[in-house]
Amino acid sequence: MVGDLLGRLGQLGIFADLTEPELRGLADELNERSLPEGHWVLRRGEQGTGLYIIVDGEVGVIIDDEERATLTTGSFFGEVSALLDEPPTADIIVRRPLRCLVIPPGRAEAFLLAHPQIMFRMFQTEARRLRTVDPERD
Amino acid sequence: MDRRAGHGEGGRASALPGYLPIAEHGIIGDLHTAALVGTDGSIDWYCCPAFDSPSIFGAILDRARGGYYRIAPAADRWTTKQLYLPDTNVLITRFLTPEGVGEVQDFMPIERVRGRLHHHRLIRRVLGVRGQMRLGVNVQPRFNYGRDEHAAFFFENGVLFRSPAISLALETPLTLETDGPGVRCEFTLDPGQSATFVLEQVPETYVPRSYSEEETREAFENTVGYWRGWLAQSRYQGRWREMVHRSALTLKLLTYAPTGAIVAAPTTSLPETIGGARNWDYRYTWIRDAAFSVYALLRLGFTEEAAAFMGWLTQRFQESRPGTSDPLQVVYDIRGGFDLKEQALPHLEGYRGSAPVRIGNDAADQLQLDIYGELIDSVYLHDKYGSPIDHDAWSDLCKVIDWIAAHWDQADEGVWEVRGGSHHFTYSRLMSWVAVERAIRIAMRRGLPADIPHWQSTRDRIYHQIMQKGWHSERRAFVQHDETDVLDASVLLMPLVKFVAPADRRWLSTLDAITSELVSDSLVYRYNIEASPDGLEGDEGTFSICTFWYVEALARAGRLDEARLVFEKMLTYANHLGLYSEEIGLTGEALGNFPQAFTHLALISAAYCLDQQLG
Repeated sequence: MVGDLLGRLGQLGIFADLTEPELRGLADELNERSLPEGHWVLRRGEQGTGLYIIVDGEVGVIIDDEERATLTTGSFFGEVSALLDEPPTADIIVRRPLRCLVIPPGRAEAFLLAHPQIMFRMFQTEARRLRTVDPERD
Repeated sequence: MDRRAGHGEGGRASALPGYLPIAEHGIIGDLHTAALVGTDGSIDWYCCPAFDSPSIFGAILDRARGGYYRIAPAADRWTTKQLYLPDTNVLITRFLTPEGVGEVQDFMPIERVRGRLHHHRLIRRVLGVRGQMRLGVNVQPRFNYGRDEHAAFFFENGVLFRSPAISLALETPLTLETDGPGVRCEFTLDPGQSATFVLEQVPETYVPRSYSEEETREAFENTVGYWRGWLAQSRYQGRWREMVHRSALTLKLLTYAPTGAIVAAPTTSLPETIGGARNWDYRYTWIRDAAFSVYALLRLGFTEEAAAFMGWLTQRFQESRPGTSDPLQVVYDIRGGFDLKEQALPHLEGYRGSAPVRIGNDAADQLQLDIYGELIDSVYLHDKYGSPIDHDAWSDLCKVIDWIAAHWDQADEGVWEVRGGSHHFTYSRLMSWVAVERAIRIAMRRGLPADIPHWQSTRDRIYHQIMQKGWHSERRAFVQHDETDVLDASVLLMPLVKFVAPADRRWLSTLDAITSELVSDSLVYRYNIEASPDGLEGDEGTFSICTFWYVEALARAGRLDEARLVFEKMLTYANHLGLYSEEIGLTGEALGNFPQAFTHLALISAAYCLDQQLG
């Protein structure tokens, strides 16, 4: 399992700056989770949901009964809830069989402080999301 | 840190089917570099960020190792059509199946950036046209001619390919999956639906962005607008207008905008015969080709491109090159650099096994005296039809003429860049005559200072030598050089440059000799390789530029019916888009680098001349 996961983690953008030993440590440190198509990953208003990093598969982001976005390999979700310790404001449903890493609730701060390169990559992605919302700034 | 995937690791990438014929390609570009797009939807040649950069997609030179970027129907069987959006370099590849029709619009926006990274965006918009179509995309970059490994990182808007020298982002809203060292995806389009893929050069720490449909549509419209706006400057109203304009669009596409240099072709090592060794890197600027381009573009009214090239040329005059007194090198890189050291890439099998694949070009070190004639003829035309030559350029030019006056009477490697030893080539003499004769014309017309008596006597000495040594009295023809009776198609330029009258008796008998020995079913060989070994192995096809010169020579000799038939036949050898490579094989196939500027500029010149003669 670890060898296969390790190779896959090395292809995720938010881990692009990590060395192989760092990736190995990460694979040991994080929980891997697999969910079938149609399964809910997160529900709006749920407590203590954690931060999810997609290794394989695809999820839909549903806000107000409308699927607003699709997230796929290399994406992450649940970070706002994890950082603010507040329930998610969107439902997340599996659209293609999902394999993801989960940073449990309450551990996000320690995890990010221990891995500043990952934190920087997450910031970059958040910045890119903001630009997408407001393309005039690009 | 080095976590780059080896090309065999992580599972094998999907294989690309066999080699497409060279002619089964279109070209797109952004005035810095270009990509060849096959009728099967594969980009199998793309160098980034410039024409002469190492290839990223090079499957045209090695199906297995070169790399490609393919968009094609997922179905087993389909037919394909390819066309340019009219008056543009936006290429459309269409796929037809019983179930549906889809098309890919390929283009590279013309970016004008200063002081920041040029992205060289290569945009592929896939559209559903009729019925339903399932399509597959496979992107398999192989950096540095397939020599460098790379890493692929997945982000939420696409994938970043990071190699030691360059990083590219592939951005799309679709979900991409790993396929060996590349990525792939499949999707279905209904009529009116579209999917867009943007490939661009990015910094290595880049996070791929999303492109809205509105943004890519705007990029498409701007690119269409750019090409149509450019072509609108053409003054050509004669016959064969579409072919002439396609040639002009192709020449413009082969221009390197930052310097105004024109590459001979955007490819390397497409063979002159399948399986042969005559495989050369044409991604450079030959003084000869570029000078002819100025002539062709001026004829059509594109003065800006001619002026840009003149600016590039002026800089070359002002440089001194180490270890030589020659005013100019035969060929430069697109930035004006001297070092074009040739090397083979033995890890690539070559197009259909045509090895070696070469990069760089040792012709740069050859002496080819003809380049000064072509060059000064283009200066003369630019002075006459573009803008008058300035003082500094004239001073540089005078030094060149003085150098020619001292050096014209020596052996060189000639216009065809033979590698079998030097000779006193008739064509080199002819062009030395042109150099001095045009300089005299400029001086006289403009009243510029020059040692006219000295120049005139040089001109006349060259003239007499050609008439004595270049003329073979037994063959009744001008021949390749002074120690042979072999014919050479390059002398077809004699009446075109006004060295001889088009109906001069010596010329007409030369034309007859060329017609009987070098012309085969209207197509013209450069020379007889068996009779005149050129130091290179293998055969070659007919040279398209020679055929167009032949058309002009026939037209100027008043043999208009013949000229028109040869020209019309020659048009049938263009590919489905109106593009030509350097040569044509025995069964009509395109051979050599593709598309070739020299052929397209000769087409423009021949069409212009023939149209005028026909009235």
